[in-house]
Amino acid sequence: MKKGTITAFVQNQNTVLTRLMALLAKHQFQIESLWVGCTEVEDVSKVTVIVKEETGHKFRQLVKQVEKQIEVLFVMEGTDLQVVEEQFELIKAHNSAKVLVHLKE
Amino acid sequence: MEAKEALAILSILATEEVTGNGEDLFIQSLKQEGVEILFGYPGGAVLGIYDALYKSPIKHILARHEQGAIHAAEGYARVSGKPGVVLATSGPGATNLVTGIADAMMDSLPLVIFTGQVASHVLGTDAFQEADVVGMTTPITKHNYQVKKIGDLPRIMKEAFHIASTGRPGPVLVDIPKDLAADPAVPLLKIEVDLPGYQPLSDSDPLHVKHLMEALGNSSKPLILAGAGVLHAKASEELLLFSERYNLPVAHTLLGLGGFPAEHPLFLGMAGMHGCYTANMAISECDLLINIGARFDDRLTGNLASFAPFAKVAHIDIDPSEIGKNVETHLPVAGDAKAVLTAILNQRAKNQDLQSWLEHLENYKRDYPYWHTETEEFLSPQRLIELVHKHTNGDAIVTTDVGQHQMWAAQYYAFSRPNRWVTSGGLGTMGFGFPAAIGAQLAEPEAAVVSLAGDGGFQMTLQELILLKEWNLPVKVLIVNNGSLGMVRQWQETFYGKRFSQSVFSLQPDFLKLAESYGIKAYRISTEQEAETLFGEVLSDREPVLIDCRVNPAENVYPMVAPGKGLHEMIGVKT
Repeated sequence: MKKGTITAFVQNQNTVLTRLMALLAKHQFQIESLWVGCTEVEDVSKVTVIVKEETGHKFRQLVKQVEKQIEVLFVMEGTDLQVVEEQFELIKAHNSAKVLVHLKE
Repeated sequence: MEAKEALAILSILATEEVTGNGEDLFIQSLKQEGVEILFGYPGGAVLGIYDALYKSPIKHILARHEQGAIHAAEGYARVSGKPGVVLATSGPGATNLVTGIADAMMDSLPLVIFTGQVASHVLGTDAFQEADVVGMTTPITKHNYQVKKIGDLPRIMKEAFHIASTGRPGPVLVDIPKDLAADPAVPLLKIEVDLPGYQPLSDSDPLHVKHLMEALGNSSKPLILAGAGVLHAKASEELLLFSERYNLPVAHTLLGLGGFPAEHPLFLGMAGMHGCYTANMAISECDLLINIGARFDDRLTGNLASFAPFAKVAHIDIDPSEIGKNVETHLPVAGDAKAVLTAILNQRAKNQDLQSWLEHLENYKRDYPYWHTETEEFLSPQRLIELVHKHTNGDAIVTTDVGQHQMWAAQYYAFSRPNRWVTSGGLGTMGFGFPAAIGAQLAEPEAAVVSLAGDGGFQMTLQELILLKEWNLPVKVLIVNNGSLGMVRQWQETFYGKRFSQSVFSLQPDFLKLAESYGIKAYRISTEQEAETLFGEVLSDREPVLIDCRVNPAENVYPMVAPGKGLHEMIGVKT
């Protein structure tokens, strides 16, 4: 199954993550990775979600819905973010290795 | 800030005692937004706000249930075009609003909803009457806020009104913890809306309009499908000009009714599940479908696989996320319906000869109109709506719930101008219509307002009857009484082997005595003659009245696109 990546730069408000996650749930997307963090700009956070993508149409609808949210400043999507995805894979690999070592001990 | 606004604020400050806490700030902000009516219900977490309201000239309508308050606010918003404002307490007060919030979200109605919340130091402790209102309303609001410090309140209120009423309208909720509202606060003179992530569209891309005009110039079977977006944008006049300039036939969605005059020769009728044959066949046969402010809801499209199979689809919508959502769109035009139609009117498309297309549709109109049978024994519900139309000169504000009576009203009450039709479309809410009629009457005190309700739906919000007496609102409540949940019964009859599971009431209240106990005149009719006589006497009165209209309990709504079928496969068409 293909994967879709959405990166949203959002205003820091405590409801914004709830809103985005509710959207994913409503559109029945399964989250593979979720990364939220501060940016260099005060009061702006970056949310990156990797989802299992069923159809291109469904994914495009999700992107439009994310763009529509009031706190969302702008959105990047899709394959141009391959780099981010690769980084996620690395982090995952790194962490699972650590966990495995820990369990063996 | 505009100089005018600054002056307005200064004048408020100059003329009134500013005691300087959040509750007073709240009232001042409402005044600045021009709020005249508040629909609400008090409770523990909003005692302070109600105390501030005590001294204020803002009219407060005390509903008897929060659901009644919010549906009334929806009716007010639908008719006036201004945001309906609701105030309720925390916990159960707020949860009772949820149906109305979801309803307003689906039908794009501007609402600003204020809920009290438990004091901030006990938030998250399951305190008395605590509920996570922001959490539970997130998926059903255009936006929502919880106030964290009182200094933010004026900005949040300004933003709430701005968001609710601009772009695609919708409900915005503001949750205010009790302690914050009581905090001392200094009124702000300079309030800035700061919403970099919210830039509602106005003008459209000229290139998109150009492509649309080219497609129009090449079309020999064009059709306009006009939705409620036309009403929200106040673009009825532009729609009429556009249609007349190129001789374009117009079909409406359920919520769009009134956007184009029903008596106009180019009007085909309502499209969709219980729409008219002509409109549905026009969609099925057209080669260019111009959707203006409709969202291709499943009740409109029927089976998507056979929807508008020969058409290039153009879609004008203020909400870009609607374009291409359900139906593949070849000509997207994102923008406000009025702005786009104005741009269209400023251009010229090649005029096509549409004579044979229009004649073809005319034949459909003549051969397959809405039809119903009338019996000696019963009052026909369709005839009932025709008589309401006759005795209100076709110009009443008509409100409904969802179901059979709603479809008959949509089919038989021919609306000739905008904002007369108040119905729960997207969410399909029983109990919506009667309180909505109260809000509509408050928005237009001089208008004739008819609340058409089913006997089922009416029993969901009938406690608001007292408001008719209390505020002397001359709403005419017509209960289209078939002793059952008509649409459920119809589907059980048609698709569930006539097993009428829980859809027929074995016992009903005496609606006349009920109305009398609220001090409202009431009548019962069961024949056409009785309807004719009574409507002539009471529908133009300036007094509220309730009429229990006993209609044929076996009557079904036709024609119909059965579930899963295409628009061209209507059943129950006149033969």
